[in-house]
Amino acid sequence: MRATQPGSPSTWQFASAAALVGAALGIVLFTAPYLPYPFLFLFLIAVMVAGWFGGIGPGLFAVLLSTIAVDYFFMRPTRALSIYAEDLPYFIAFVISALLAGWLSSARRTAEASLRQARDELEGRVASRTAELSQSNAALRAEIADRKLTEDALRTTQTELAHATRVMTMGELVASIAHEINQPLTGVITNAEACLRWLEGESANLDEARAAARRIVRDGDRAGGVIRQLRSLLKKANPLLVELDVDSVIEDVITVVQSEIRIQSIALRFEPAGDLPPVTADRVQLQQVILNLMLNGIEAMGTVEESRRTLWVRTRLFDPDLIRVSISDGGVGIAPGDLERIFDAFVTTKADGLGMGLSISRSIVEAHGGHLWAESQPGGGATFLFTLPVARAQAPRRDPVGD
Amino acid sequence: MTHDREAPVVFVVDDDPSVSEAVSSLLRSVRLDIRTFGSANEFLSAPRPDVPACLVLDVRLPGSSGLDLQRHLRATGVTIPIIFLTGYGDVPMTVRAMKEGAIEFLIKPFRDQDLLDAIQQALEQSRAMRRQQAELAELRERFGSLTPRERQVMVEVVAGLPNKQIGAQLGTSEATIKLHRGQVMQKMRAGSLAELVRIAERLAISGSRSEC
Repeated sequence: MRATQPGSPSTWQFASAAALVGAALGIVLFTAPYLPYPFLFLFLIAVMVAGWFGGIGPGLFAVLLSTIAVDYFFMRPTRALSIYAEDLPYFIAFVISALLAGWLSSARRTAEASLRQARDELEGRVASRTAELSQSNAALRAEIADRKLTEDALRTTQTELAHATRVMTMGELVASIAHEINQPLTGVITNAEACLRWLEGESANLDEARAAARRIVRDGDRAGGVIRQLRSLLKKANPLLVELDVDSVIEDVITVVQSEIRIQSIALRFEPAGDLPPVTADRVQLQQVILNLMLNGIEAMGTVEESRRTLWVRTRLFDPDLIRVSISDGGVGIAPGDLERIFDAFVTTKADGLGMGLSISRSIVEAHGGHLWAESQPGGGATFLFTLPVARAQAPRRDPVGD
Repeated sequence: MTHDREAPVVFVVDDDPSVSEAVSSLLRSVRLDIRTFGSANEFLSAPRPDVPACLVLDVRLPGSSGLDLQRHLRATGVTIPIIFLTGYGDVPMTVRAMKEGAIEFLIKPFRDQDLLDAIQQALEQSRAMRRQQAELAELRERFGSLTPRERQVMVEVVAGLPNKQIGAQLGTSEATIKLHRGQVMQKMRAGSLAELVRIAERLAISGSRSEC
């Protein structure tokens, strides 16, 4: 490739040009006796070939050699470099033909060579561009793999964070419960010690001792109340998951609150959807949620006029997989800012509430794969709604309290 | 001393009646005068009698916390010994309270004797502080009764200068200085030069003026 490049003819190419001219001369001399004219076109062919492979240099070199050979061997007088005047036009025509043949051949050759070079360059460029592309493709693929790893790591971190948050919430819960019990306990101990001191000595003060003893009873009751409320809400440690009819669970709860409803002169409207598909749930936990929501509603209506005291309990199949229970009251309602806050532990809008009921209810509903939320009616009153997924046959179930 | 016979007062600041009523009863049973408050602001706005006193303070209070109240009292120059009550004594909180000069940090529920001991210690500290303040006030009064000349002489005397030199410095005779010096010792009720130097130290009087 490199040897045929125009502009850089090698010695070998000049030698080839000479050899070609020599070969042409040999053939012409050999065939001359059998032909009426010497076959001079062979020299033109030699020049063309030399010009083709060697470029303009070796081409002109072949022209020079051919001119000398033709003049010497075939122009009269033969075997001499001189020439007769009448043969001169013929000889000049030959030289011009040779020059043209050499020039055209080498020019054509040069054009082709540069064309090939251009093509080669293009191919090279295409190859390098392809290489670049495949390189960036690989980089892209590595980046995608990297991102996937990062996403996985992120997801792991989020899971860990969620767990940590839950543990922290538990810690806060325990700290709050501890405080709720520790305060009256401190009262009990210190009052008891004070009581003993009031009873000591000659100047014993029985009135003070009695007052201290009464405070002991009061504080003991207070601590007991905290524990009672907690226990009633966290009664069962191990949930028993069975397929349940939500409507029948609500009917069970209604029998429990019947007397409360009567005493408070509240009208209860239960609108069951009827033929609901079963849910997989712990009966006691579900009862606790419904009981808690109904008692909240009853309590919320304690101060409103009797005509508004209606408690609505409705069930319906929300979509093929979801049952929705709503419990509405005509009570004082919930401030918009409190709609979410009331589900936090130890947040209460009641004077004597512990702030645990809704928080625990929500955790029970969520453990069963549902949601619990509150809505406040424009004209007063509040609605608590929760959803439960319909039981799927053979579907593996999460343990509602297990995690 | 006279201050020891003053009836001390214990202030209790706790928002929870279970605790504050019990503490109040306990302290009354040992014949302590007690005032209870439900919040820091209630305590701050109440008048405080000028007697030995201490403060029993719940860390967890509505509004500003017990630690905030402690800081506020310090910042406003109220030197009342504080005993903290807390439901959960975490270390950083305890360290902070003790660094700010708390007498004791009691975790609820606490033993009555621990609280009473802490209160005795706090009242003792309050008495000592009051005694020191009273003595200082007395010394200031005595120093205030000196004439300007006598004060000059006292400054030079406690700086350790002999009468002759003081006389030269103040442009008067050694005999006059001797007279002034006698007056200073009498008015300041100092039995000796050493005692006068101690009094000067407590009043933060130095003889540096004559030395430079």
